Amino acid sequence: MNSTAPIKLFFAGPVGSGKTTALRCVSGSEIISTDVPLFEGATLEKSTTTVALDYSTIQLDAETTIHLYGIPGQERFDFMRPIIAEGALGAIILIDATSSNPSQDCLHWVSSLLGINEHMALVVGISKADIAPDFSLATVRDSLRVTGISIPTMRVDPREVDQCRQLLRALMAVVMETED
Amino acid sequence: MSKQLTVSVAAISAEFERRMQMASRLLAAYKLEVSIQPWDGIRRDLLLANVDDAYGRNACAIADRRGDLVLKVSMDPTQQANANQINVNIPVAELTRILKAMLQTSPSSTHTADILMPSLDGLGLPGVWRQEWSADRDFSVSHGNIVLVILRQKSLVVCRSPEDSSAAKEAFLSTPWVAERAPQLMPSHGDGLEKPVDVFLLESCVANEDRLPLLEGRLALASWPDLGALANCEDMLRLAAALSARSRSTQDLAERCSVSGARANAFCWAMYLGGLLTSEQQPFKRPANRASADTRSIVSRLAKRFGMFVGAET
Repeated sequence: MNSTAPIKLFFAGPVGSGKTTALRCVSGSEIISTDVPLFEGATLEKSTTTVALDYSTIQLDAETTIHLYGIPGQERFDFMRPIIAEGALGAIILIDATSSNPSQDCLHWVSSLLGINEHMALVVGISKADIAPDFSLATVRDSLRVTGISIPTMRVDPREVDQCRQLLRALMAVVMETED
Repeated sequence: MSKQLTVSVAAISAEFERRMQMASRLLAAYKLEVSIQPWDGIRRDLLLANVDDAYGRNACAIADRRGDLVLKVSMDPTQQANANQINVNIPVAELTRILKAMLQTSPSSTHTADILMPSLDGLGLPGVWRQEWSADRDFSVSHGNIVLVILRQKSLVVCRSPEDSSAAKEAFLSTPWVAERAPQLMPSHGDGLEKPVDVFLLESCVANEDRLPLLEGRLALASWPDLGALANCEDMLRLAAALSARSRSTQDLAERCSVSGARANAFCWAMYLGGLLTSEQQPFKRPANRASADTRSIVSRLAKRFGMFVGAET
């Protein structure tokens, strides 16, 4: 990785999985958000959707900035993925446990990002597992195993700061674990 | 003594799978006990995959990257067999001969170490847990007034109260724990405490780390533990990362992650009880070294910002 290139991380995943919420939790600065009201499918918990991307930063020191992005979940914005993913240190994929097939969603996003950069560090966070009575973590783990890559996978609440930071910590642990 | 081997199959027809079953029975004459199961991404002794199918080709690609033993099959009866693949019409005797040649010299079957488990008799909850967990269904365990319900598919432990959860950790290695296979819902299930299985096991094993027997052999993680809800666990994250990268002994793991041997051992026990431990030398493809020295410095500082110290060597 070019030492002068910007250091960036991003959140990815389907609509409504909690990407914008999680980004707000880990961000060190105000988020530039491109959320607009949902006209269809709005609920008490989700009334907006991201239509471009979310952006924020973490300032490590006067000279070092970590750029954080949240890419929209709609497939019509998939052209953004290679742009944001290019040179990224890693990505946190958030999956909604209440979707009809969380395992398929997970595999879709993992495959999509690995297709852009097969060496990208990935972590999967599964949101709303507490309100998904049919959700099976074992099924998601089994589906990810076919990628042949170790991907930390954990249930999180994107509204909880420490759980979002746990995803980031797991990503750092993966990045730092290298061959002896 | 027979050698026990597992062959994964990907995208093969029912007819060909019957041929495989017949061949596996013939292999018993050569003291090779072969079980056949659908490919699940985990390294087995041999992968047999249909190269005329996208799923089969994907399985082959992953296995080839890992250096696994692969036998490619074409389901197209008009396709000529060659040195690297067989045809669906191969006679069972010839199939048996090829499998015998591959499996008897299989590098994975000679390099895979066994997890050397100490006896679980009299080891309190771990002994009971392991037996029930492998049955792959919900169960409950009780010790005196302490009752835990383990929801297997949801990977959750349910107890009546935080006090019960703490008491269970204290009594983790005590006897007797009694298992029940048809757990009844807690009378106050709605007010009960739910905790991810991995979190419960980690907390319990760490609380008893000085009394757990040493796990020997080389160990690796087949899946990461569910650590989202575990607070103050940066050492667990490092242990998980290290054990996912390649197999290690508990001593190697402790040195790699700058933790005590007891802590590394407790981590491995929790992973073993949760079904996440494997004896495979390298269950995952190892990515290229991602981070330059400059980047590692930045990542290290970023991790510290979020309460984590990474890189024992930095």
